Amino acid sequence: MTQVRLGFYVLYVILGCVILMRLLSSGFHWQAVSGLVLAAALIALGVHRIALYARVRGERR
Amino acid sequence: MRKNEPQLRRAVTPWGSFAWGYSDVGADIFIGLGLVLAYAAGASNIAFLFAGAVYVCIGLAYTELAAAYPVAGGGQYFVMRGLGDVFGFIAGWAVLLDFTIDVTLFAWSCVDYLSQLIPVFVSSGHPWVHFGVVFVLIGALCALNVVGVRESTAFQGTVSAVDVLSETLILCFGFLFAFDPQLLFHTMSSAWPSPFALMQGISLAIISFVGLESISQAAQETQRPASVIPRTSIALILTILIFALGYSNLALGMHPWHPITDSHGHPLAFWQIFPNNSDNQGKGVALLAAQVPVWGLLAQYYVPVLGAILLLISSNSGVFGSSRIAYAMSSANLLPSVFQRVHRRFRTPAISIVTFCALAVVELVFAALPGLDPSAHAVYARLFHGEDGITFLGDLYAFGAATSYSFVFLALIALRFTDPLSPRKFRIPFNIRVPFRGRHVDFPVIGALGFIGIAAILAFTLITHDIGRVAGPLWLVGGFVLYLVYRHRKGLPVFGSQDHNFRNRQVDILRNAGELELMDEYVKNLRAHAESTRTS
Repeated sequence: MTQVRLGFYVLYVILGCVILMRLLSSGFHWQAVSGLVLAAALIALGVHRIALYARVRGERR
Repeated sequence: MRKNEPQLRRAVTPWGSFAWGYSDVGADIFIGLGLVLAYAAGASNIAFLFAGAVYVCIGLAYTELAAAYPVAGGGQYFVMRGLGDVFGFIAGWAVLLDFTIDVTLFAWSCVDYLSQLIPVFVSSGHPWVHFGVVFVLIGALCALNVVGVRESTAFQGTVSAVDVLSETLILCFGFLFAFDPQLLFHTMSSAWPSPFALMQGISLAIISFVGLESISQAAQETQRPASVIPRTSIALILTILIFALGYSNLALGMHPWHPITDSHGHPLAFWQIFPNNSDNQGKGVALLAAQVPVWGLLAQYYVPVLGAILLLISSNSGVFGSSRIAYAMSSANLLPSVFQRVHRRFRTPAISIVTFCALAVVELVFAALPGLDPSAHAVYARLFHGEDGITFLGDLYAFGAATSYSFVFLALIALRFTDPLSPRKFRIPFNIRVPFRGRHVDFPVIGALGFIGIAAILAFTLITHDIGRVAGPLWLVGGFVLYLVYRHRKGLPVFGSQDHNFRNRQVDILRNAGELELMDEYVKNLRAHAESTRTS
């Protein structure tokens, strides 16, 4: 179950990066601000949860 | 708290705590998306961004307060503790409005989602059937809560997990195969709304983020809440924000999988199916999911069902939450003791449940009236600019949430000054150290910014919603009169506060939560404070 959740968070990071790249590759537009925040939130949530998982695993060892 | 008083069992796991919050707040986007697209049009993602930024501040405030004071009273308790009984009552009364609206609005939208698969449930085509089904749902939830049947945490957890998976897949398929940044930029430029419509959109966007009371309700039943709640809350806040921003950007910038046309055969963008169409506004996520390439083939069938289940769970949390808040307010002498009365056989607060479900039915009648009776439709068109049922419910929902959240921000700031001794395992970042009565206090900058944001949303609600600006304040005034009469009759301070002995209570709260280290720290702080007071 933990591996599935971890895979999920990796997916969030990838999706965030894809959205970020697609928006930035279209040039800089102020209309992209909401999408950029979305991408940042996806990456932040993914990285936060993966880091938490790594920390808990490290403590258990 | 009396020693022999029965306590809630603390058996909720970190995932259970997340699922509890998610099943409450996560359902909001199912209603909010269609409403915001209808009003904010090309600025819908900006409306969600503004409301989302305020929501992040609210979420952080609730996380700090729920971790420091893990009691089920939630916003009402924090405000009573920080600002006194009168404001505690007003905040609690506004939360009660939200919970009763929650019951009606979510049951209404549950039927809207089902109408995607069962056409006879479509509100505009069969208003009496729609009204009847929503009425039966509210009645059934009332009966189940009186008898004491609740959905299990495991059921909530399963539905939440399936929903998070489903919504993530919709975002993945949508952003990978249908999203076009150029289309998003074009839509935002060509369909930017008027300032009035944007304010309306922002005030409706906040309803996608209502239900943070569930964080404190979960805190009451979570083992070691001070450690668990911050962890789960941050994941919850970000998850909800992601879905709101993701769906709104996708709705404005995606090429629909199947062409959409108007009655003359002209092609329409996806977002254009929402303005002036209350049937579509009630089931935004189901319509979006059906237009996502490939996955839409499956999503068009299961998303309406999943949405309906999640909305029904949320409606049930309105029934349960309203009775629980009324019970807590009654225990604190803010409401008459009748709301504390427990049914002899079922051991549930039956009077509270029936009272607030009856209020939910009154709201349902008021919301459904324009559809049921053409003469009422004419009256609404003249007095309220033709607001329909779901917008009326959305108005009041936004009003109640903005009012109670405003007070929670003020309570957060006040408690930093008046209760510095309670240990806070989670503290909102970005604080400014200010001197106060010979010591230093961390002033929460995010709390102040959040207050300005939510006050702006409250102002937008009052400016733009004809029904909300009348019915919302009327609810508060009516409740306040009830409060004044009750406190006067009981011989309690009418405008002042009674002695709640918060310090002893805090020790009990931390002990019952299993936060023994925090309890020791609190007792140590109290002793040090007493010592320094004696010395000085």
